[in-house]
Amino acid sequence: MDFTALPPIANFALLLGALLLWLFVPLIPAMMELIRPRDAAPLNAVGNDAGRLTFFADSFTQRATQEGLLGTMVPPRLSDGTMVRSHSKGNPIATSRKPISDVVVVMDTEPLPENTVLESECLARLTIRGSAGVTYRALLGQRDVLLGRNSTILRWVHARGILEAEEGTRLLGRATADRSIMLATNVSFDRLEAAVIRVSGQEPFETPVMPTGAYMRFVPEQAVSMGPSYWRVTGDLVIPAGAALVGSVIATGSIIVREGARVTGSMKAHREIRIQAGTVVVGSCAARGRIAIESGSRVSGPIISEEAIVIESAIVGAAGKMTTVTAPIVRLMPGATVYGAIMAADNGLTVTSS
Amino acid sequence: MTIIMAANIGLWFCILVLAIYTLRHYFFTLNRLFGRHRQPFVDVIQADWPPLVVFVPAHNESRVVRDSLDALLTCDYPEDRLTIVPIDDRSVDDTRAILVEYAENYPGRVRPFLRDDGIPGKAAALADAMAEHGGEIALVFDADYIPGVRLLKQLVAPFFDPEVGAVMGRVVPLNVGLSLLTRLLDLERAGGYQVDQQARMNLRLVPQYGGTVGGVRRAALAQVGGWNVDSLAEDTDLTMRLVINGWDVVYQNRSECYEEVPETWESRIRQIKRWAKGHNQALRRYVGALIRNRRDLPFVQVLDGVLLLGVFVVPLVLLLGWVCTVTLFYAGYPPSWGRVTILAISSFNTVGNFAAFFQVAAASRLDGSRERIRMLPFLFLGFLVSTLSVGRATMSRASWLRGQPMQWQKTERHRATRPTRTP
Repeated sequence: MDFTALPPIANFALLLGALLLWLFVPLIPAMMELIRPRDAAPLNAVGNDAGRLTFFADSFTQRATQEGLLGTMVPPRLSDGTMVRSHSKGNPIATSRKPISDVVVVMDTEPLPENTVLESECLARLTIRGSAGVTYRALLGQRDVLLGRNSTILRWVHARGILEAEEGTRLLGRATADRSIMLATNVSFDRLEAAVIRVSGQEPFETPVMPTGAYMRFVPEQAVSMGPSYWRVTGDLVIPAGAALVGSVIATGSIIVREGARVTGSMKAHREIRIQAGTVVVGSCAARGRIAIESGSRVSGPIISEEAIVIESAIVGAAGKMTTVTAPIVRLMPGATVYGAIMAADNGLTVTSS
Repeated sequence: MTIIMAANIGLWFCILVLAIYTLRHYFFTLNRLFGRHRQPFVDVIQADWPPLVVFVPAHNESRVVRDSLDALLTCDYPEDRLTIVPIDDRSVDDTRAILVEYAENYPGRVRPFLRDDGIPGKAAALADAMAEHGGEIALVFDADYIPGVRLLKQLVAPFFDPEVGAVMGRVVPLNVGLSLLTRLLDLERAGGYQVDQQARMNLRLVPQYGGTVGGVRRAALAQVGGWNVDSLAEDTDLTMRLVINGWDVVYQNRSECYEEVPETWESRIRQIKRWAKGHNQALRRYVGALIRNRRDLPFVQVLDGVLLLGVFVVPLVLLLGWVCTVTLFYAGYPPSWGRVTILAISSFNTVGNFAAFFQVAAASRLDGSRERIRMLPFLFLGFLVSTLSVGRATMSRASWLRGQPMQWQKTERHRATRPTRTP
């Protein structure tokens, strides 16, 4: 087409029309979405599972009750068509290399065959003592749950009583218990919650908690006051052995709390915190770097690190005063005891030495 | 010739400023897409929770305040540690009667603070109410906000770090699907919180305490001198004072709370004008202090603080750039270094203008919203209105330069006026 033959006004109109058409292209889906909205609902802002580790276990309990899995006669299938398989001394599941996709109800204490893989939920109506190498997608124990060596939990496990994990167990996702969680060494985990969580192999050494007056009073020198009993220290801070710091302190370097000291307040370090043997901290610890809690120490408040936390044979929290230990990497040594929750965003592991 | 030279200098200045903000937008967005998500406190689920006071400032909020109080009363924070203090600041509607009714129904848990005189505005109301109520931690919610069951614990958790002076959660629009405006605001909020705020948290810059869905440590507030009662943007004002004094401000993306966004353009324009005036007031007050304290603060925090304070001046800079360009064009004087200028302008037009769109698109992706991203082209409309409104607010009597006292204007609520749909 010879545009030169057209009058200038027509050329201008053509150019304008083409431009408007070009501009209108991205508006087509926008107009469609405006006229017939397909995604105009508010975002799901408040996830029901947020902050409650037992959410899935509670949901499954509710479903199991509704479907009659806790009754005397276990139905052969659920209302959505999922098959249900029972396992008991009289009717055991045979050893199979194939994964089991049915929901499994363990009727008594008969262990599942070794290396069984359960792709769906498993409900243990009595105390379950798992065999070695069993993989569970999700496991709900109505009483105690004892996971055999090298077992794997893919999503969640909840025990109404005690949860025990033997060596080599992998607890991916959520592991919770109404009473306690006992971990052997070389157990990996993501998120744990129970009244008490303990690593077996050593009894924790409990430091006697003495009143503040029994210690030598310590006030950080060259600290900037940020309020009553609130200090900011540039660089490292060392709290001497046997001394007591009353108040909260922030250090732009590392904080070392020497043997037998006491801190009544919270601590924050831009680098590392090291709480040496026999120390008592009545407050929280937060650090951008590593936090190490040595044997015989006791920390009452949350322990928060942006890097890693190592807990030796020490006590965090107290009975009736639960708390949280949270870091990308968490290492627990024999005797480590935490009342409350342990959250390892990247990697949690029980080890014999740091 | 003087005008031409001034226009040339003005144009280069505008291009430089806009380029800095463009790079900032891209950097934040790329950080959110590919960087590590920093949320050290989100997993604190068990603790010996400290005494908490939740303040709900309300001025003629009878349409929405019930929803907010009901939601707060169902939160899982230990009852013996929680006090809810709704503040009635001279309402002329039924707000006061509603608050008294809640106080009677929930004795000890809801303790209204009724205000009939004093300086008007949210900051002054908070200052008066806080003087009467203790508590180590104070959270603040606007009266149209509807918190989830676990939100209070989530917002308190960062205060276990003694360096944290203030915490901010994420605001999520509830009335998204009502109009083009609400849908655009939904996108803007997503970009602002999911990308902008979280990136600043990730990079240890200056996340902003937004005045609602957040809280402050009383010790920190006292140390920085309490609420500035003449401030129009008490949130920005407090953020800057906390940062200058060495406190951390934490943003928690998972601590989400529903809000009602403006449903009319008039209401939106008023809101953005108020933000612009308040923000520019904070710019005037704190930019000098921030730069003077540069030795005590990390350089990136000072830089981000200055850019954050200047964010409502950017639309004015953009308008100035347009004026300079048009002046030079019609004066018949191509800018010196013509090719470089053309390159810079075209780079800005092709890259800079899309920085904010990239941010919003990335936020939609991170939120898992599949379809709402199609509304993106309409953001031009929202940006145009914002640019003009902010420009007008900034220019109006240049009040932020003279430091004149300003009046607080509340955002109009629509929740109860919405027609109910009949089946």
